Amino acid sequence: METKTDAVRGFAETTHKAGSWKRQRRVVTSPDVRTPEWLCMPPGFFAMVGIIMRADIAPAPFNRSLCGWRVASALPLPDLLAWTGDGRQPDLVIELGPVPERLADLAVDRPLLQIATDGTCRFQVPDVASYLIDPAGRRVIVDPALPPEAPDIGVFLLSTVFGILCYRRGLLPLHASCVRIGQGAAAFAGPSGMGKSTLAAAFRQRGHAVLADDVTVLDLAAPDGPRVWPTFPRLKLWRDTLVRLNIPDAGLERSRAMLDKVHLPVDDAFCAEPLPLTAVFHLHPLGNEDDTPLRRLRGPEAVAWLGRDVYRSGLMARLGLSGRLLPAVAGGTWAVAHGHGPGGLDRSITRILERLET
Amino acid sequence: MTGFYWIASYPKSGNTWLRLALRELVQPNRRGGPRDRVGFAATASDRTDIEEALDIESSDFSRAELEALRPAAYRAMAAAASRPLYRKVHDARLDTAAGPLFPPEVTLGSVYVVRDPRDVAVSWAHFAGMSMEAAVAMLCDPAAILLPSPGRPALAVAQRLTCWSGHARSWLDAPGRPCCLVRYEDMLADPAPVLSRVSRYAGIAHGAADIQRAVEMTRFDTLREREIAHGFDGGQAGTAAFFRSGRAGQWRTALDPLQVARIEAAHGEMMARLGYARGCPARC
Repeated sequence: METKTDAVRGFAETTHKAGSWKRQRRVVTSPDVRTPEWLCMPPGFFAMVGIIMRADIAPAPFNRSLCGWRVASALPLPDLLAWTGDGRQPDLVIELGPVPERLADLAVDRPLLQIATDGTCRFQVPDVASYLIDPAGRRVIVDPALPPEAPDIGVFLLSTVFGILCYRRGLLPLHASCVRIGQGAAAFAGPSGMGKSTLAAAFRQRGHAVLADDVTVLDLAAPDGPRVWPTFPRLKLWRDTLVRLNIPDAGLERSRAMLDKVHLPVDDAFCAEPLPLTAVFHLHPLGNEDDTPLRRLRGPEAVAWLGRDVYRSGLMARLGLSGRLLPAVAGGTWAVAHGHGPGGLDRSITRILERLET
Repeated sequence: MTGFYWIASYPKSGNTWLRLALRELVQPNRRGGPRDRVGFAATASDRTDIEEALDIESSDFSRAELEALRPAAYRAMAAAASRPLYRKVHDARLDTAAGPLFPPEVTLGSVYVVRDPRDVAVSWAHFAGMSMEAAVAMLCDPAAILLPSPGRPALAVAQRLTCWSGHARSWLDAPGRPCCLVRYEDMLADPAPVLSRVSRYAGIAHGAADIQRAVEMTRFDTLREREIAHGFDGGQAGTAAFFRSGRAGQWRTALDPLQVARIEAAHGEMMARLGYARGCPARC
């Protein structure tokens, strides 16, 4: 239902394009849900006026760092490093507030995701939270169904919502973990369950700093070639993986209360600086012992594997984007037949290191 | 908007074999290569498929949450598809907290493959690398859940099986279009009419020559030779063969009388319904 509010309030937000303001349509039609105030405000508004004093939007007192962004958050987000950079205005604001059940003018209506024609996204995890993401990927409103301090809310903020933010900000998220090897970053990509986080944890044990777990963010427009932005210093691991890697699990927080998956802090082994992407290793299950263990991918085949491992490729398409660009990676892209049986992890690590050291 | 044909079975009942034969009808020019997988009717429990439909990372969800979201995932897949979808299923056809796991409104039909449970136990023991005793126990466990094997990537979500007869009942007695029942033993004895019947049911165009060719291409010996030459990753444990024996009645020598009796006591009613005679005298 369109209302006169459209005309009265203007809805100036906001595609942040080279300093120009692009008029957008409103996204909320339900008469009983107030339009979030930030939808009417230009980026930078909060820095100009200080703390928002609306009753239904909580302030964002926590200053965090994510992918080089200054994040002002109403949620504590303890997984993220504190912001220690300059006094810039927040690049991303995360607030608590009401999120409407339905967006207006839906372009995409999926089970958990709605995308309005103006690009606003609404993502909902039943019984956890709803998330409203502005079209530019600069503001998120979180409407929790759990107490706001519940770690569950951050878990989904840092997965699907984070993926949306990356796409909206022109970055390419890979479904990959990422560690520093030499002077560059190596990404281990593959579908869920393939062992990406386990591989990163094993590299950490061998002294390699971690840049990302599960979502590796690429800036393909960096002047010197593709660059990886570090995300946050923790790995999410199943408890049996900790046992397998002889990592003590005492005191580790569960990622969600009902999951036997814990957050392993890696503050001592986190690379907080962006690094050039030197190689991508696409993991696939080892079928037979005579599988080629490590195979260089070139041309269309390399593009196809990258397509497999773009983070939530369906989501990318639903956001109206396509990723057919193959980043030029000095160390190449590789298919790794990754064994999950005894010795499989060590064999993959040895082969990967051999490739990067020769 | 379209819907699904579910090609369902308890594990180790001939599902892969049937799908390989159907693939020969649907994609006659496709050839297997190294690590040949079936290439037709991917599993309905595939994590990536479910994640893409729901825009989620599945490992962030509990089993119960994921199960309750799966019906919505299938609805979304059906809504986006322009032709019928085929999926392999090992789940029992149960209700989730959000309604039927396989929503009737997007179900075009179900093919249910069944095999003598005593042979299923033998086959499962080889496949999973476990004892006959443990395999028999699984078939009799109403709370059995299929999980990724240790030492394998976890590429599928958990699947509730229930016990063998509970599984069969869930599919055979489901409301809606009656399922197309296929007995493994019939497929073994004379595959062409079975394949023809399934294809007709599932809307797969075929002629007599197509059926004959599909049967030839998927004779057990042929599949076995291909596996020896190229390997076949069907999810089996370690270096076990996927196409192992292809015979019926192995339970007579592989199971001990107590194991046979246990299966027959637990599943006698469904066995009788499906035409599997008891081999164990009532007293044992």
